[in-house]
Amino acid sequence: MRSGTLLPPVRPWPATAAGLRSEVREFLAAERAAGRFIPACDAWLSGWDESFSRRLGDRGWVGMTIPAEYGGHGRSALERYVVVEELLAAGAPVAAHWVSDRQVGPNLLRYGSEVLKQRYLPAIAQGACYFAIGLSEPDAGSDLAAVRTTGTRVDGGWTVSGTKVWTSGAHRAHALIALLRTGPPDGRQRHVGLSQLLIELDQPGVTIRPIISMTGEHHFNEVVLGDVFVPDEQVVGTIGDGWAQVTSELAYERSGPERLLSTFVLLDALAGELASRAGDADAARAVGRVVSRLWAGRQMSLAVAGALADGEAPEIAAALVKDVGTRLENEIIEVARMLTAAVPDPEGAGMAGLLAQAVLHAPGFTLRGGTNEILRGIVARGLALR
Amino acid sequence: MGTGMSAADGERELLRQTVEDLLAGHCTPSRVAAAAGSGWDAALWRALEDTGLTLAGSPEEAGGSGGDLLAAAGIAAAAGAAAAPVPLAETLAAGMLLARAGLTIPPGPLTVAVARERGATLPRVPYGRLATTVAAGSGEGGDWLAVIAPADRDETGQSGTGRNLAGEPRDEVALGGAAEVHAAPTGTADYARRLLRLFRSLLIAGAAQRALDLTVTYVQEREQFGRPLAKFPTVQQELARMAGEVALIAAATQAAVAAEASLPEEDGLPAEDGLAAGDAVSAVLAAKAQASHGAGIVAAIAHQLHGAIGTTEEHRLRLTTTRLWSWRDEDGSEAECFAELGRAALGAATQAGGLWPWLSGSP
Repeated sequence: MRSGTLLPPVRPWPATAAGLRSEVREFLAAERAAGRFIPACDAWLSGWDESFSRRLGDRGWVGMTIPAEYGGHGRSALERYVVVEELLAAGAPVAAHWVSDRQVGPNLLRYGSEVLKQRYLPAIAQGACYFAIGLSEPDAGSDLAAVRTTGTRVDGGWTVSGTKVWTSGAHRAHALIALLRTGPPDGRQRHVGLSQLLIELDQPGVTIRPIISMTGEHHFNEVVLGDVFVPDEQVVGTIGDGWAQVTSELAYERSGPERLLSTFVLLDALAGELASRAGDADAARAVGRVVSRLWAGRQMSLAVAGALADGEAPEIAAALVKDVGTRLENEIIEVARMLTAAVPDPEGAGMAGLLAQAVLHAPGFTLRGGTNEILRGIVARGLALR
Repeated sequence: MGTGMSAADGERELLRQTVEDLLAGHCTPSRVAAAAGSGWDAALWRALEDTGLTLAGSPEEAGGSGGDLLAAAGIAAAAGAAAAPVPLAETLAAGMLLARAGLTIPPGPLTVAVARERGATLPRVPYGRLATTVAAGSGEGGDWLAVIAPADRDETGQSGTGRNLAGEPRDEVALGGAAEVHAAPTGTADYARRLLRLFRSLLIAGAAQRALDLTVTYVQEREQFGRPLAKFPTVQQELARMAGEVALIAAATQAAVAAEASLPEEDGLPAEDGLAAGDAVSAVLAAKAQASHGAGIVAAIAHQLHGAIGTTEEHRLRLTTTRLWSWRDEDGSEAECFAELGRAALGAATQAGGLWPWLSGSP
């Protein structure tokens, strides 16, 4: 019988981690004290603040792993992890640069041409260049290989037509990193013929329409591409390799601390409110339940981050982080509801406002980045193949 | 994939393989099941003792076989996976505890218990009927360790015996006049409690992984409606939920071992002022909390996916699940660990920066 562990070993923190953590905490405390942000749930989706992103860029905390020759800082993936989890735990507004920092930077470093690296990486590291992700379409959700947006070969590039949906921040982003069909599928092999293109959003043929969330907020968009010309130099990696490129990004996308911490600000506020009730056994048990799970989930996420940094591809473990972590984000809301007298109020301060944000954002936790059901299918197939 | 593998990793990997092979040879389902009658498997114990595996993690000067906590942890997890019917994890913990107190490790199987007071009768001591009990306690005169060999007991013997759901002995041990009592460094009783929790968590981690492995194999082999169960999306969903719990337990126990191993040391042992270190206390509590919590989920899904055959005496699944159901309640159930950790969390929440500095282990 094949035995073995599901998880790579946790790597030790780099020696610089503790100092870096303190610096980020001091910065965040100063930002809060100056009233530059109010901690919010799910702020990595909803907290779009370009000046905040630039201040982070000034500190060297965006695009940290990008080498100095491309305007970055040559820091390690685990150093980036420190910064990112501190920002998330504080509920800081990191949405503007989120996609650039988390996946476009690493993707371009891995697959991008020299031209693309020179063009985008320095601005990403400044916290000044923002991307939207063009994966989902009206008829391609969980079934991503069903994308119908097409690139047609023309002189010097591709003419792109199709519609992307759920593109967070497209109305403010500079460019879209899109998966589209540039060639026919090979019979039933639908992963063949897909490519990744970087599409500048401020150009003729691009129409961006808002999709308003039930919170009343505008994060999502429909992006209609009508015969948009994309020059060859905007192709990421190799034409036809889009599927492999996108799926290799997903391990990063699924295993990061944002899959655990979307409601941490609520838990922190709850703990503050309950601190005077430390003798209340029910409260202690409920808080201990989510805290122990969060602590363990963080160790899982760190294990995957370390493995990714060492060039491994722990896909099963990455999918598990997202499944376990996003369910925990929901459980925190339920624990908070049980223990506080506050009721959700979108206009309320403190617990009431945080509860409102958490409850209304919660359905998205287990949908975005691949639904948990799809992820569990990946896990099960991976286990069977081991 | 061993890109970051050091020499120490290599040695540990070799040790892991040795232990797993030895256990696999001995812990056949029939022998594990039979041991529940006699209380343990003496032949397995001899094989483990002969190879020095029962005292890994304790220095050779104290009578141990050397190696670090990580080595001992790997052995304990392997024992959990194999459902080894011997007090291996208990002996590893006892050796470390005795060595820390500067005492010589006696031969034979050992077990650990935490006593409320000196004259107490210790309830449900693992393998108490046949192992030398190392009892830790603290009182006005400071911390102490009492060592009492089975032969020295002033009891008539079998009166206070019991078993857990897996048939492992859980016996009353009286700290009578025959027990040698030694003064021990401050924090020893806390250290004992932490080691018990840590090693119990490791046993659970091994057993949970085994339950998953058995289930993955079963759903690939068992066919219904003309195809293997593994092909059904509903089965896949449950299998993945189970894997999530198994991975979470693995992550938690691994991190707790790392926290314990990173305590300050003196001469290869935890330094006296590190014995009650807050970080390791919380890490081990969190690990046991999640191990105990996950054990029930893992066992339930394993049985659901195995169907009725898994509930029978002849099927090996029960050797693993009865241990998961027992071990989750031993050395601190999740309710107990949740409450203790929750109190610590709420205490931390009053500090500057709130919960996060405490939770992230970086105040």
